[in-house]
Amino acid sequence: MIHTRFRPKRGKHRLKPLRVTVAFIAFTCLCLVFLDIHGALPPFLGEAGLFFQFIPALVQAVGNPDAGWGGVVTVLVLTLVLGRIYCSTLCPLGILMDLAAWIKRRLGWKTAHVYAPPHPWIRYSLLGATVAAFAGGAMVVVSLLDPFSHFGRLASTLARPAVVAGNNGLVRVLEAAGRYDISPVKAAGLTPGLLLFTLGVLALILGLTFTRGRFYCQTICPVGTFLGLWAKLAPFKIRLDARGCIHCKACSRVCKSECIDLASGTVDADRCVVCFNCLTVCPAGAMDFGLPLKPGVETPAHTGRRSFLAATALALVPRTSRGSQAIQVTVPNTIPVPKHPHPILPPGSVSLDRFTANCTACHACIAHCPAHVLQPSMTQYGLAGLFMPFLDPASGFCNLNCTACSDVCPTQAITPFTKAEKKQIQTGEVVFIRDNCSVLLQGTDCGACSEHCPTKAVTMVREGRVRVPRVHPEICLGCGACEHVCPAKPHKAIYVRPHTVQQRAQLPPEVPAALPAPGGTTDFGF
Amino acid sequence: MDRRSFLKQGLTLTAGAMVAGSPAALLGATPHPDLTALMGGTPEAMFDQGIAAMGGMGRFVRPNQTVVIKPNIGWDTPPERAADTNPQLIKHMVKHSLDAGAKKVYVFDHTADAWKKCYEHSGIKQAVKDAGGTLVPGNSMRHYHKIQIPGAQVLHQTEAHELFLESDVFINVPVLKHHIATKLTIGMKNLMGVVWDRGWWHRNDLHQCIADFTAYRIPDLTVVDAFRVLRANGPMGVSNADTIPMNAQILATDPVAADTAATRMFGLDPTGINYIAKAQERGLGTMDLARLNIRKIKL
Repeated sequence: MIHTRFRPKRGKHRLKPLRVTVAFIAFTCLCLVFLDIHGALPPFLGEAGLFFQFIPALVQAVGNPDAGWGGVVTVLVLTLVLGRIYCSTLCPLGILMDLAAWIKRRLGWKTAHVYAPPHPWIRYSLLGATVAAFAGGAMVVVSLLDPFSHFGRLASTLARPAVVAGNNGLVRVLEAAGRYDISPVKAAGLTPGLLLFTLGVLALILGLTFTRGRFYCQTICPVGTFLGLWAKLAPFKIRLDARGCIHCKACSRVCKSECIDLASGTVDADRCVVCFNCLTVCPAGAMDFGLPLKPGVETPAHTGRRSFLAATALALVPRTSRGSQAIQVTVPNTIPVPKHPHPILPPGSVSLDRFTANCTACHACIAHCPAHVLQPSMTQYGLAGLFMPFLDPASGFCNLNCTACSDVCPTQAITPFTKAEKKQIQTGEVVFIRDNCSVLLQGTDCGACSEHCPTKAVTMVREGRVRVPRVHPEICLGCGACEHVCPAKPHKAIYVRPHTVQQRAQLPPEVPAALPAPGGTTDFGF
Repeated sequence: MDRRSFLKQGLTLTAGAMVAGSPAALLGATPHPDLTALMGGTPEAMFDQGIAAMGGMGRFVRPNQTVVIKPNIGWDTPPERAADTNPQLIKHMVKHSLDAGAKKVYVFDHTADAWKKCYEHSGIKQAVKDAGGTLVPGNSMRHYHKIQIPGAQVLHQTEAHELFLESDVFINVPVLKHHIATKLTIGMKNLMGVVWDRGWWHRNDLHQCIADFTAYRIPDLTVVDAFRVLRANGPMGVSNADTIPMNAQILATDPVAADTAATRMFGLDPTGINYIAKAQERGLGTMDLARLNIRKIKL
């Protein structure tokens, strides 16, 4: 073993620490998108990380000409100059793999990589499938291959609940001491099916990382394959100087991309993620990163035999119902709420087709929704919308003044909207089931639906001794507040019927200036 | 606990009155008005004069006691929408309580909208912080404990917030506003913000539940904020056009009288607000303002 201190030539020894630093910053920013449970840090940090995410940026640019191609062009230019450095410094899934491998090494479990030939058939088939799915609007395929979306689901399904649990544990400890400095956070957005799937993805990714390094990035990831095409053209490349090489294999052992072929003395730029690991270990200083000294060496074509890991089986476990409190109801109602063909789309999604063609199910909106009304779907949208978020009145209701989902959405599947615009986005419309309402069944006042309605699309109208809800769908926003709070049991007496194409709600009628009290501000009235 | 605390409080008040040595107190007739109504000032100025008329903060808050101030923070709206209690008033009351020697002053509400947004946008978060009080989340289920309500007609049991149950002093600070379901929400209805499951109330005779729950622990003091009043589309309102300035405030120890007076000030007939009538039936106070010692102050 060669463990002598050495320096890569021409001062390139700082490249790996630089790569690790940039990766650390990018990874932290992207983790904040999902794990800043108190929204305490400035949003530009997360936005900066999201800007570079290739598939979200591409989806956004294609779907919304106004959004611009800034993110996509930046990544492509970067790749065209420096190769697939994106995969090492900006892709959160890649950085997560590196982090896992680093921890594994620290624990003493070292893996010696060996050169592996590429699998062009698998790579280009998956890239082709992704492009076709994207063009055909079958975003679910993209969402199951896109590294950022995988990362988003890992972060929001596995890491966020852990952070929330830690926070809430700390809250309990502080509260026991009579302190209320930290706010508790509601744990939401977890379904058994999603949890199982995400754990499966994590196991697959860790398993691949621990045995084959960046196998996912080299063989499965459509972004990696696509950027590889551009990286081949990059003037800056990791190169092996055959004249200096002492054939110790140190470089190829640490090459997580398994793309250094010592037999031919070449580095496969198509698959190299420019991590600079090889530069740091080469005792002979034969590895270099820079402009070619001589006409570019082409990578020889290879055909592989290694087996390709089968896709993870999707656990389509239906969503379990929430624990319902055993509450005595004087008069139970009888009419079930009709089953909707699809759930309520997040505000600003425009239409079901547009939404499922633009959402990569990264769950950034779910992590940001302060009302926890956006929930990950399992079967609700059907397969075409697997894991995509939906507005779930059973979990909460959409806050009138909130634009969090639209602010964070990296693909504009949820189009940007202002607070003023939101006041007219109609995601669905209110329907009242008169015979289920406790006011009529019990003969006592309730009014919870109208109370919570932000536009007064539900008003109360006197009928005999009680006030009964009356709905005005034209000013309803479909926020789900009435449905959420309706106390009727076992069925809701009021619900939102989802729109397939979102509508523009009318503004609530201008009320005449509120009538002053008869006594005004001078007479007490008693 | 409430019988014990009631007795304890009765003893402290009697002791206080004896120490004060006022002949009126010794005769059993209170020297303080039952209800003080104010008009024409800022929330702070009205409270200063109102609490002075009621016998000073020291009448309600003794040194080293824990105090809960319960505003209405139910909605994610700014102060000018008047859907939540005026933050300046809350700030001022927290200060008064601390000045009176309170060990700790807690402020919370089980909000209807997302609680963090309500606390923040109502201005109450900042107000409590500035005044040195402790803002407590009202939306953690484990803070709520099951209680039995003796003598209730409908609401025999419910879950109430532990600070409401444990604090030495409980001060209710509602905002007077229109309410689409109960016509008006004032003091007694504001107590819905210390219970967990409001849905049960809504489907099981809301008015009776409000009256039943009020009996469990009568607030030591009710301060009705009528500085800016939501006259339509309550309890949340749709726009600023729903509100008007009334520049008023009511302080009372009798929760029924407080709601009755506020209803009259609003311009409605208190007998038409079912929960007020039901609370009087339960003997929680009186709607007959003529029988009370009322002080009216114009600033």
